[in-house]
Amino acid sequence: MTFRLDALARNALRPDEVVVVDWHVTGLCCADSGEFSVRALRRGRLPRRFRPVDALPHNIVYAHPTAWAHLAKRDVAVSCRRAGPLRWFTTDLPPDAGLRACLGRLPPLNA
Amino acid sequence: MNATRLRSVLVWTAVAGVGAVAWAVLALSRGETVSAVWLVAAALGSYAIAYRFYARFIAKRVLRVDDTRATPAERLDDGVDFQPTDRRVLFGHHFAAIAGAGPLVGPVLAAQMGYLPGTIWIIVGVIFAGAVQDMVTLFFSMRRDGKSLGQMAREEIGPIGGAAALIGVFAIMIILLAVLALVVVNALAKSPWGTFSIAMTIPIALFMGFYMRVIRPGRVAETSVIGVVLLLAAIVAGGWVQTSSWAGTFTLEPKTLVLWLVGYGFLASVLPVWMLLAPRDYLSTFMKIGTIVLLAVGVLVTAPVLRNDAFTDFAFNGNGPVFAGSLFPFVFITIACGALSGFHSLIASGTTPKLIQKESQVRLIGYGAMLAESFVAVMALIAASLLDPGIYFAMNAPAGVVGTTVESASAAVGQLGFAITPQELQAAAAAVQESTLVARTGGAPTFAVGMSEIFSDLLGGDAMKAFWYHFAIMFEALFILTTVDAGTRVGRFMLQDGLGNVWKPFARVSWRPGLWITSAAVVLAWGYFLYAGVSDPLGGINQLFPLFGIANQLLAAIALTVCTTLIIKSGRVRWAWVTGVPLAWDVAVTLTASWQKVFSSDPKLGFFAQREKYADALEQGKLLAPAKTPEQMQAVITNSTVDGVLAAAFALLVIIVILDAMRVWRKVLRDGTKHSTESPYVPSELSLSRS
Repeated sequence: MTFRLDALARNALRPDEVVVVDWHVTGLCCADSGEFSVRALRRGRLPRRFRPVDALPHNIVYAHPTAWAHLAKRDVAVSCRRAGPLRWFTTDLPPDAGLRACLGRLPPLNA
Repeated sequence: MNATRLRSVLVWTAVAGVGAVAWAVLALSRGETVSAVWLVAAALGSYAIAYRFYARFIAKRVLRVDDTRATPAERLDDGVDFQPTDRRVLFGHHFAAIAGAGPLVGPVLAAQMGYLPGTIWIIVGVIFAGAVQDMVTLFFSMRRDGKSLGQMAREEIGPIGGAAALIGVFAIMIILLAVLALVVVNALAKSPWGTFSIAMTIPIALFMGFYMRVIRPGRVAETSVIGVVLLLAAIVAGGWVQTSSWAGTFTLEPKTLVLWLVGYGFLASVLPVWMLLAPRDYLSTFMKIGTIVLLAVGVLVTAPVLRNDAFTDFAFNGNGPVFAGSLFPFVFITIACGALSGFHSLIASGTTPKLIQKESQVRLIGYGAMLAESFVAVMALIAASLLDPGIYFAMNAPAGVVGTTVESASAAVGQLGFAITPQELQAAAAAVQESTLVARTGGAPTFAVGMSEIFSDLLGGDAMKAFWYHFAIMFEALFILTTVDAGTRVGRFMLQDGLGNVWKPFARVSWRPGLWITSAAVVLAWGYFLYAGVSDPLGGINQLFPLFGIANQLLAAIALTVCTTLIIKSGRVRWAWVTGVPLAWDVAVTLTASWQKVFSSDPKLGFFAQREKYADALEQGKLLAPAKTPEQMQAVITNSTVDGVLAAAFALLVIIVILDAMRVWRKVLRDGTKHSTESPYVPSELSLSRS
């Protein structure tokens, strides 16, 4: 799994920040699903369970273990949109990527 | 025999002895007082023996788990940053995922047949069917890099089986959402306290979402503590609202609640997940695990006495007011999630197989988590069975049977063979500060009353009964609303995905009109069944719950068929009975229930017989109770037609999947060759580092 930050994302990150790829569990009676999200987080606030993942530039992206499990062996591009002081980090993952991963509908690895 | 072996034999003999004594007490008691602790002992003793011996046998002999083989979590990481998920953490995640509202509702409804049929099915069913299904599905998905059930059905059985599985999941989702939403509607109707508390969970969740994302990013524990405190405050505030001038605003009729729920489901499925769904789920998970632990402690400490009979007459005559039909097959249809639930196969083949650290852990996580879920179902059965049967039937029989007043309910329950006075019914409602408990069907209010009895014995006494009742209602409604919003989203995605094959723009999930159209279609689909359930004079739970049970067991049949196919294709034919026997049982149950619901000539049981009876009467200008107007007669006719067609369609799906799988089994057995679709063997670094 490699996360590549484009220039917009790299420029938007503050010096003490990293990008975190989070996993949000959503309940469903007797089963579950979830969704990914990306955001910036101060390195000092990183929860212990988040693990560093292969990224360009190095050591700048951390992933929730479940997000990591669903995205293993995939290349993901990270970008950022800005509106004044607000920043939205985005990826090139398709919408509903978490649902797709749970239901086996993410595009094949070689696609 | 060495000392360790001797100790092991003695310990397991003692465990078996405790379980056997508990079962003997339950089986032989007729009319004597029975403590709920015996139920707990029978369950825990049986679970321990099953986990130690049967699950171990399946893991070692049938599945042949191999800890020298790298799991997907290790292999797909290239061994660079591999940090295995601790098995206890994964057990918690898996349990939180499979333990929904199902095990709380089904056993409460099945208590109309007495406490023993439900207890036997919950415990025996989980040991030989439910936990086996979960563990075997988890194992085979893990050996295939975490493939979903749908993918495995398509690849191992064929496109017909795969398509039937997909249709089954979608249809089940719609019925599931309608039935669970109906439980919430019945719990909140005309209850300003409950409605206010639940309404407050939405701004609380939105606040938590922004707090975690903007104000204090990454502080999950802190946010959750704030959320739980706010939830408890909302329950207390609900009590004030009930006696204030705001009470009228939050006193809603069932049909009004339907509109609110449909609107909520639509919004939740189109809003970003982090904003509403995820924080609600944090809250729900904390409430879920905390409350279940507290309930278990409460039962063990207070040792309540079961007031329900071991068997009621309804188990044999099939004339129960909660749902029609006799013990076989309807107990096995009504109690799904605590014993055997097809929905579990979705999570056992979704996320967990991608996180598992070692193959042998399928036993703890697949089998063990399902045993824990079964224990939750036992707790729910206890909560329902410790109530006076008079109160139980006054609450769970539809308004068409017990009327809407305490006087009519007292008279109707007396005709069922149980005694309860109007004063006792009034006092029971007053104790939990509700205007009435009559015809509060759906299981949630009954469970809440039972839970408030246990909790108030444990903490706070009678003065806290109303608080605990509303705490339990909020706990269940929160559970169910997370299902409603997440389920709508899953249904919307499946519909978009399916329609994308017909018209390409739907396949582009970023196409906004497609998102809105499919979201609206899904909420309207379950909203239709919900509205029909609310307005059905015969009672929505009475009509829809058997359909939900059939649909859920259909999915279990699909999962067990996939597992049996994989066992046969991998050359383990002699062990095919491990999943084949539960499959045969499940098919017998599902098809018998479907047959009776479609073809029974008894209008209480058969949908089409019911349709015919009401249609004939309407033609002759007559009104049949409980319908009071021609419109209500027409509602019964329409609902029974739709339900009957669905029951037939579900049965047909099961038959298609099994026939298609049998074609595959025959071919494999005739050719005598192994057909492995497993990922290639890669040695585990974990096992190497330990050896």
